[in-house]
Amino acid sequence: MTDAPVSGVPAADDFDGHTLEELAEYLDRGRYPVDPSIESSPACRIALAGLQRLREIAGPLLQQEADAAARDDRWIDEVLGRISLESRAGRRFPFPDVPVGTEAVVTEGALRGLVRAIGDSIPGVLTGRVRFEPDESGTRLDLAVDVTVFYGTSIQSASAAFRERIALLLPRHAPFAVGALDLRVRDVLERGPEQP
Amino acid sequence: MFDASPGALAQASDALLVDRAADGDGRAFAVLLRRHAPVLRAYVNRLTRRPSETDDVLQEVAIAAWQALPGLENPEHVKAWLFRIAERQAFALLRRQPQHVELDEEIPTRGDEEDRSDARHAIRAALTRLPEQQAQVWVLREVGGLSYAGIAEQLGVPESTVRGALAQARKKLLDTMGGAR
Repeated sequence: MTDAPVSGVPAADDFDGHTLEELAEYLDRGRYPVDPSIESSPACRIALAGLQRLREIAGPLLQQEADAAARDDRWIDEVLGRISLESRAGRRFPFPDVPVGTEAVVTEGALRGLVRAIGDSIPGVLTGRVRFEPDESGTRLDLAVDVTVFYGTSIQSASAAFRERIALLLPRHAPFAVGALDLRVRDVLERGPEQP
Repeated sequence: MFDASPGALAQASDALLVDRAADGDGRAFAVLLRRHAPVLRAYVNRLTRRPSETDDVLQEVAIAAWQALPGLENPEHVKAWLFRIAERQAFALLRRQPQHVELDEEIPTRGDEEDRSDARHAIRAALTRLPEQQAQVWVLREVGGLSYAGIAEQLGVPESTVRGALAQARKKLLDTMGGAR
Protein backbone atom coordinates (compact mmCIF):
# COMPACT_ATOMS: atom_id res chain seq x y z
CA MET A 1 0.00 0.00 0.00
CA THR A 2 1.29 3.46 -0.83
CA ASP A 3 0.95 6.59 1.24
CA ALA A 4 -1.27 8.19 -1.36
CA PRO A 5 -4.90 8.63 -0.39
CA VAL A 6 -6.83 5.77 -1.88
CA SER A 7 -10.43 6.62 -1.29
CA GLY A 8 -10.33 10.30 -0.55
CA VAL A 9 -9.18 9.83 3.04
CA PRO A 10 -6.23 12.23 3.26
CA ALA A 11 -2.98 10.59 4.34
CA ALA A 12 -1.94 13.57 6.43
CA ASP A 13 -3.17 13.74 10.00
CA ASP A 14 -4.97 16.97 9.33
CA PHE A 15 -8.57 17.22 8.32
CA ASP A 16 -9.27 20.89 7.77
CA GLY A 17 -7.69 21.70 11.11
CA HIS A 18 -8.96 18.62 12.96
CA THR A 19 -7.00 15.52 13.91
CA LEU A 20 -8.22 11.97 13.49
CA GLU A 21 -8.33 11.68 17.28
CA GLU A 22 -10.65 14.67 17.54
CA LEU A 23 -12.88 13.18 14.88
CA ALA A 24 -12.99 9.82 16.66
CA GLU A 25 -13.93 11.53 19.92
CA TYR A 26 -16.58 13.54 18.10
CA LEU A 27 -17.96 10.26 16.81
CA ASP A 28 -17.82 8.82 20.34
CA ARG A 29 -20.05 11.70 21.46
CA GLY A 30 -22.58 10.79 18.78
CA ARG A 31 -21.60 13.87 16.69
CA TYR A 32 -23.20 16.00 19.37
CA PRO A 33 -23.13 18.88 20.07
CA VAL A 34 -22.88 19.53 16.34
CA ASP A 35 -19.54 21.05 15.36
CA PRO A 36 -20.09 23.06 12.16
CA SER A 37 -16.36 23.24 11.41
CA ILE A 38 -16.37 19.42 11.23
CA GLU A 39 -19.73 18.90 9.56
CA SER A 40 -19.03 21.47 6.85
CA SER A 41 -15.68 19.92 5.93
CA PRO A 42 -15.81 17.24 3.21
CA ALA A 43 -12.48 15.82 4.43
CA CYS A 44 -13.84 15.48 7.96
CA ARG A 45 -17.08 13.92 6.77
CA ILE A 46 -15.22 11.34 4.69
CA ALA A 47 -12.97 10.50 7.64
CA LEU A 48 -16.00 10.27 9.95
CA ALA A 49 -17.69 7.87 7.55
CA GLY A 50 -14.53 5.78 7.49
CA LEU A 51 -14.24 5.76 11.28
CA GLN A 52 -17.88 4.82 11.56
CA ARG A 53 -17.42 1.95 9.12
CA LEU A 54 -14.32 0.83 11.02
CA ARG A 55 -16.34 0.81 14.21
CA GLU A 56 -19.05 -1.28 12.59
CA ILE A 57 -16.40 -3.78 11.60
CA ALA A 58 -14.75 -3.73 15.04
CA GLY A 59 -17.97 -4.47 16.93
CA PRO A 60 -18.64 -7.99 15.63
CA LEU A 61 -14.98 -8.75 14.82
CA LEU A 62 -14.33 -11.14 17.71
CA GLN A 63 -17.65 -12.94 17.35
CA GLN A 64 -16.97 -13.51 13.66
CA GLU A 65 -13.48 -14.78 14.36
CA ALA A 66 -14.86 -16.96 17.13
CA ASP A 67 -17.55 -18.39 14.85
CA ALA A 68 -15.02 -19.12 12.13
CA ALA A 69 -12.44 -20.79 14.37
CA ALA A 70 -12.46 -24.49 15.14
CA ARG A 71 -13.85 -24.98 18.61
CA ASP A 72 -11.42 -26.45 21.11
CA ASP A 73 -12.52 -26.46 24.73
CA ARG A 74 -10.16 -29.12 26.06
CA TRP A 75 -8.48 -26.47 28.19
CA ILE A 76 -11.72 -26.09 30.13
CA ASP A 77 -11.62 -29.69 31.32
CA GLU A 78 -8.02 -29.16 32.38
CA VAL A 79 -8.84 -26.00 34.26
CA LEU A 80 -11.72 -27.63 36.11
CA GLY A 81 -9.21 -30.12 37.45
CA ARG A 82 -7.04 -27.28 38.66
CA ILE A 83 -9.58 -25.11 40.47
CA SER A 84 -10.32 -25.98 44.02
CA LEU A 85 -13.97 -26.46 44.86
CA GLU A 86 -12.76 -26.54 48.47
CA SER A 87 -12.01 -22.86 48.17
CA ARG A 88 -15.74 -22.30 48.65
CA ALA A 89 -16.03 -24.54 51.74
CA GLY A 90 -16.87 -21.72 54.15
CA ARG A 91 -18.10 -22.39 57.69
CA ARG A 92 -18.06 -25.82 59.29
CA PHE A 93 -21.16 -27.03 61.13
CA PRO A 94 -20.52 -29.84 63.64
CA PHE A 95 -23.06 -32.59 64.27
CA PRO A 96 -23.96 -32.99 67.94
CA ASP A 97 -24.47 -36.40 69.48
CA VAL A 98 -21.61 -38.21 67.80
CA PRO A 99 -19.59 -40.77 69.75
CA VAL A 100 -16.87 -39.37 72.02
CA GLY A 101 -13.63 -38.96 70.13
CA THR A 102 -15.48 -38.58 66.86
CA GLU A 103 -15.94 -35.36 64.92
CA ALA A 104 -18.50 -34.95 62.19
CA VAL A 105 -18.92 -31.66 60.38
CA VAL A 106 -20.58 -30.48 57.22
CA THR A 107 -19.25 -27.45 55.42
CA GLU A 108 -21.22 -24.46 54.24
CA GLY A 109 -20.14 -25.24 50.69
CA ALA A 110 -21.44 -28.80 50.91
CA LEU A 111 -24.77 -27.59 52.28
CA ARG A 112 -25.09 -25.07 49.46
CA GLY A 113 -24.46 -27.91 47.03
CA LEU A 114 -27.17 -29.96 48.70
CA VAL A 115 -29.73 -27.14 48.53
CA ARG A 116 -28.77 -26.47 44.92
CA ALA A 117 -29.24 -30.12 44.01
CA ILE A 118 -32.61 -30.29 45.77
CA GLY A 119 -33.82 -27.27 43.79
CA ASP A 120 -32.48 -28.68 40.52
CA SER A 121 -34.33 -31.93 41.16
CA ILE A 122 -37.69 -30.15 40.87
CA PRO A 123 -38.93 -30.16 37.28
CA GLY A 124 -38.71 -26.70 35.71
CA VAL A 125 -36.48 -25.25 38.44
CA LEU A 126 -32.84 -24.20 38.39
CA THR A 127 -31.31 -23.12 41.69
CA GLY A 128 -29.36 -19.88 41.84
CA ARG A 129 -27.77 -18.21 44.85
CA VAL A 130 -28.15 -20.05 48.15
CA ARG A 131 -27.79 -18.30 51.51
CA PHE A 132 -28.57 -19.62 54.97
CA GLU A 133 -28.07 -18.90 58.61
CA PRO A 134 -28.74 -21.03 61.69
CA ASP A 135 -31.52 -19.54 63.82
CA GLU A 136 -30.97 -18.53 67.43
CA SER A 137 -31.59 -21.99 68.79
CA GLY A 138 -28.92 -23.36 66.46
CA THR A 139 -31.18 -26.25 65.52
CA ARG A 140 -32.94 -24.79 62.50
CA LEU A 141 -31.56 -23.31 59.31
CA ASP A 142 -33.21 -20.25 57.77
CA LEU A 143 -32.69 -20.30 54.01
CA ALA A 144 -32.90 -17.74 51.22
CA VAL A 145 -32.73 -19.33 47.78
CA ASP A 146 -32.90 -17.66 44.36
CA VAL A 147 -34.36 -19.78 41.60
CA THR A 148 -34.93 -19.54 37.88
CA VAL A 149 -38.01 -21.31 36.59
CA PHE A 150 -38.82 -22.44 33.09
CA TYR A 151 -41.88 -20.94 31.49
CA GLY A 152 -45.03 -22.85 32.40
CA THR A 153 -43.73 -24.08 35.76
CA SER A 154 -46.20 -23.55 38.59
CA ILE A 155 -44.33 -21.49 41.13
CA GLN A 156 -46.68 -22.57 43.91
CA SER A 157 -46.19 -26.27 43.28
CA ALA A 158 -42.46 -25.79 42.79
CA SER A 159 -42.21 -23.91 46.11
CA ALA A 160 -44.21 -26.60 47.88
CA ALA A 161 -42.05 -29.34 46.38
CA PHE A 162 -38.89 -27.47 47.32
CA ARG A 163 -40.03 -27.07 50.91
CA GLU A 164 -41.10 -30.69 51.17
CA ARG A 165 -37.87 -32.10 49.76
CA ILE A 166 -35.58 -29.84 51.73
CA ALA A 167 -37.47 -30.57 54.98
CA LEU A 168 -36.92 -34.25 54.30
CA LEU A 169 -33.34 -34.17 53.09
CA LEU A 170 -31.61 -31.38 55.02
CA PRO A 171 -31.73 -33.13 58.44
CA ARG A 172 -30.15 -36.23 56.88
CA HIS A 173 -27.11 -34.27 55.75
CA ALA A 174 -26.83 -31.46 58.28
CA PRO A 175 -27.34 -30.88 62.00
CA PHE A 176 -30.37 -28.73 61.24
CA ALA A 177 -34.08 -28.84 60.58
CA VAL A 178 -35.52 -26.36 58.09
CA GLY A 179 -36.62 -23.02 59.53
CA ALA A 180 -37.75 -20.20 57.27
CA LEU A 181 -37.47 -20.84 53.52
CA ASP A 182 -37.45 -17.69 51.40
CA LEU A 183 -37.69 -18.71 47.76
CA ARG A 184 -37.21 -15.92 45.26
CA VAL A 185 -37.93 -16.38 41.56
CA ARG A 186 -35.27 -14.29 39.81
CA ASP A 187 -35.86 -15.24 36.22
CA VAL A 188 -38.25 -17.12 33.95
CA LEU A 189 -36.70 -19.01 31.04
CA GLU A 190 -38.67 -19.58 27.90
CA ARG A 191 -37.84 -23.09 26.82
CA GLY A 192 -38.25 -26.39 28.59
CA PRO A 193 -35.33 -27.85 30.52
CA GLU A 194 -35.07 -30.96 28.36
CA GLN A 195 -34.42 -29.07 25.13
CA PRO A 196 -30.74 -28.28 25.04
CA MET B 1 -27.70 -36.79 44.00
CA PHE B 2 -29.91 -34.75 41.69
CA ASP B 3 -28.42 -32.80 38.86
CA ALA B 4 -29.72 -30.11 36.58
CA SER B 5 -29.60 -31.49 33.06
CA PRO B 6 -26.71 -30.02 31.05
CA GLY B 7 -29.29 -28.62 28.63
CA ALA B 8 -31.01 -26.72 31.43
CA LEU B 9 -27.80 -25.08 32.61
CA ALA B 10 -26.88 -24.19 29.04
CA GLN B 11 -30.08 -22.14 28.84
CA ALA B 12 -29.47 -20.33 32.11
CA SER B 13 -28.56 -16.65 32.17
CA ASP B 14 -25.00 -15.53 32.80
CA ALA B 15 -26.14 -14.12 36.14
CA LEU B 16 -27.49 -17.47 37.32
CA LEU B 17 -24.32 -19.28 36.27
CA VAL B 18 -22.23 -16.68 38.09
CA ASP B 19 -24.32 -17.05 41.25
CA ARG B 20 -23.96 -20.81 41.17
CA ALA B 21 -20.23 -20.68 40.40
CA ALA B 22 -19.71 -18.19 43.21
CA ASP B 23 -21.44 -20.69 45.51
CA GLY B 24 -19.00 -23.39 44.42
CA ASP B 25 -20.76 -25.05 41.47
CA GLY B 26 -17.98 -26.11 39.12
CA ARG B 27 -20.44 -27.32 36.47
CA ALA B 28 -22.07 -23.91 36.20
CA PHE B 29 -18.60 -22.39 35.92
CA ALA B 30 -17.78 -24.77 33.07
CA VAL B 31 -20.97 -23.79 31.22
CA LEU B 32 -20.06 -20.13 31.67
CA LEU B 33 -16.55 -20.74 30.36
CA ARG B 34 -17.79 -22.70 27.35
CA ARG B 35 -20.24 -19.94 26.53
CA HIS B 36 -17.64 -17.19 26.41
CA ALA B 37 -14.50 -19.14 25.51
CA PRO B 38 -14.60 -18.64 21.71
CA VAL B 39 -14.81 -14.86 21.92
CA LEU B 40 -12.26 -14.70 24.73
CA ARG B 41 -9.94 -16.84 22.60
CA ALA B 42 -10.33 -14.49 19.64
CA TYR B 43 -9.66 -11.50 21.92
CA VAL B 44 -6.54 -13.02 23.47
CA ASN B 45 -5.30 -14.02 20.00
CA ARG B 46 -5.72 -10.47 18.80
CA LEU B 47 -3.91 -9.03 21.82
CA THR B 48 -1.00 -11.46 21.99
CA ARG B 49 -0.74 -12.78 18.42
CA ARG B 50 0.46 -16.04 19.91
CA PRO B 51 -2.25 -18.60 19.25
CA SER B 52 -0.02 -21.38 20.59
CA GLU B 53 -0.03 -19.69 24.02
CA THR B 54 -3.73 -18.89 24.10
CA ASP B 55 -4.86 -22.03 25.93
CA ASP B 56 -2.46 -21.20 28.76
CA VAL B 57 -3.68 -17.62 28.93
CA LEU B 58 -7.30 -18.78 28.97
CA GLN B 59 -6.55 -21.16 31.81
CA GLU B 60 -5.05 -18.30 33.81
CA VAL B 61 -8.14 -16.24 33.02
CA ALA B 62 -10.41 -19.02 34.24
CA ILE B 63 -8.50 -19.56 37.48
CA ALA B 64 -8.41 -15.85 38.23
CA ALA B 65 -12.13 -15.64 37.45
CA TRP B 66 -12.99 -18.59 39.69
CA GLN B 67 -11.15 -16.99 42.58
CA ALA B 68 -12.69 -13.56 42.09
CA LEU B 69 -16.26 -14.59 41.18
CA PRO B 70 -17.71 -14.35 44.70
CA GLY B 71 -16.80 -10.66 44.71
CA LEU B 72 -18.33 -9.85 41.32
CA GLU B 73 -20.94 -7.17 41.96
CA ASN B 74 -22.87 -7.28 38.70
CA PRO B 75 -23.14 -10.93 37.64
CA GLU B 76 -25.01 -9.96 34.47
CA HIS B 77 -21.88 -8.09 33.29
CA VAL B 78 -19.65 -11.12 33.60
CA LYS B 79 -18.64 -11.08 29.93
CA ALA B 80 -17.11 -7.60 30.16
CA TRP B 81 -15.53 -8.64 33.45
CA LEU B 82 -13.96 -11.69 31.80
CA PHE B 83 -12.63 -9.42 29.05
CA ARG B 84 -10.86 -7.29 31.66
CA ILE B 85 -9.29 -10.40 33.19
CA ALA B 86 -8.29 -11.63 29.73
CA GLU B 87 -6.54 -8.32 29.04
CA ARG B 88 -4.57 -8.56 32.28
CA GLN B 89 -3.55 -12.16 31.62
CA ALA B 90 -2.68 -11.49 27.98
CA PHE B 91 -0.32 -8.68 28.91
CA ALA B 92 1.08 -10.70 31.80
CA LEU B 93 2.09 -13.29 29.19
CA LEU B 94 3.70 -10.63 27.00
CA ARG B 95 5.66 -9.32 29.99
CA ARG B 96 6.81 -12.83 30.92
CA GLN B 97 7.85 -13.64 27.36
CA PRO B 98 8.70 -10.40 25.61
CA GLN B 99 10.67 -11.96 22.74
CA HIS B 100 8.42 -12.60 19.86
CA VAL B 101 8.66 -13.34 16.17
CA GLU B 102 6.11 -11.26 14.30
CA LEU B 103 3.48 -13.28 12.52
CA ASP B 104 3.40 -12.60 8.81
CA GLU B 105 0.19 -14.33 7.99
CA GLU B 106 -3.23 -13.63 9.32
CA ILE B 107 -4.46 -15.53 12.35
CA PRO B 108 -5.86 -18.65 10.70
CA THR B 109 -9.60 -19.09 10.67
CA ARG B 110 -11.69 -21.61 8.82
CA GLY B 111 -14.19 -19.17 7.42
CA ASP B 112 -11.83 -16.81 5.62
CA GLU B 113 -12.66 -18.09 2.19
CA GLU B 114 -16.31 -17.54 2.96
CA ASP B 115 -15.79 -14.00 4.14
CA ARG B 116 -17.76 -12.01 1.60
CA SER B 117 -16.97 -8.65 3.08
CA ASP B 118 -13.84 -7.33 1.41
CA ALA B 119 -13.55 -4.48 3.87
CA ARG B 120 -13.87 -6.78 6.84
CA HIS B 121 -11.33 -9.16 5.43
CA ALA B 122 -8.96 -6.32 4.59
CA ILE B 123 -9.24 -4.93 8.13
CA ARG B 124 -8.47 -8.29 9.70
CA ALA B 125 -5.43 -8.72 7.50
CA ALA B 126 -4.30 -5.14 8.12
CA LEU B 127 -4.71 -5.58 11.85
CA THR B 128 -2.33 -8.50 11.71
CA ARG B 129 0.21 -6.44 9.77
CA LEU B 130 0.11 -3.45 12.13
CA PRO B 131 2.99 -3.07 14.58
CA GLU B 132 2.08 -4.99 17.73
CA GLN B 133 1.47 -2.01 19.98
CA GLN B 134 -0.70 -0.19 17.44
CA ALA B 135 -2.82 -3.27 16.95
CA GLN B 136 -3.15 -3.80 20.70
CA VAL B 137 -4.16 -0.21 21.32
CA TRP B 138 -6.76 -0.31 18.55
CA VAL B 139 -8.21 -3.63 19.72
CA LEU B 140 -8.33 -2.53 23.37
CA ARG B 141 -10.08 0.69 22.39
CA GLU B 142 -12.48 -0.38 19.65
CA VAL B 143 -13.14 -3.99 20.61
CA GLY B 144 -12.51 -3.96 24.37
CA GLY B 145 -13.97 -0.48 24.87
CA LEU B 146 -11.19 0.64 27.23
CA SER B 147 -10.45 4.29 27.99
CA TYR B 148 -7.09 5.84 27.04
CA ALA B 149 -6.12 5.68 30.71
CA GLY B 150 -7.16 2.03 30.92
CA ILE B 151 -5.10 1.16 27.84
CA ALA B 152 -2.10 3.09 29.17
CA GLU B 153 -2.29 1.16 32.43
CA GLN B 154 -2.61 -2.17 30.68
CA LEU B 155 0.36 -1.50 28.39
CA GLY B 156 2.46 0.31 31.00
CA VAL B 157 3.00 3.31 28.72
CA PRO B 158 2.04 7.00 28.96
CA GLU B 159 -1.38 8.05 27.70
CA SER B 160 0.30 10.18 25.03
CA THR B 161 1.85 7.01 23.59
CA VAL B 162 -1.60 5.40 23.51
CA ARG B 163 -3.05 8.37 21.65
CA GLY B 164 -0.21 8.37 19.14
CA ALA B 165 -0.42 4.64 18.50
CA LEU B 166 -4.19 4.75 18.18
CA ALA B 167 -4.01 7.57 15.63
CA GLN B 168 -1.43 5.62 13.62
CA ALA B 169 -3.53 2.46 13.74
CA ARG B 170 -6.70 4.25 12.70
CA LYS B 171 -4.98 5.99 9.81
CA LYS B 172 -3.55 2.73 8.47
CA LEU B 173 -6.83 0.89 8.85
CA LEU B 174 -8.74 3.68 7.14
CA ASP B 175 -6.26 3.58 4.26
CA THR B 176 -6.73 -0.18 4.05
CA MET B 177 -10.46 0.13 3.98
CA GLY B 178 -10.28 2.72 1.24
CA GLY B 179 -8.27 0.24 -0.83
CA ALA B 180 -10.86 -2.45 -0.29
CA ARG B 181 -13.75 -0.45 -1.61
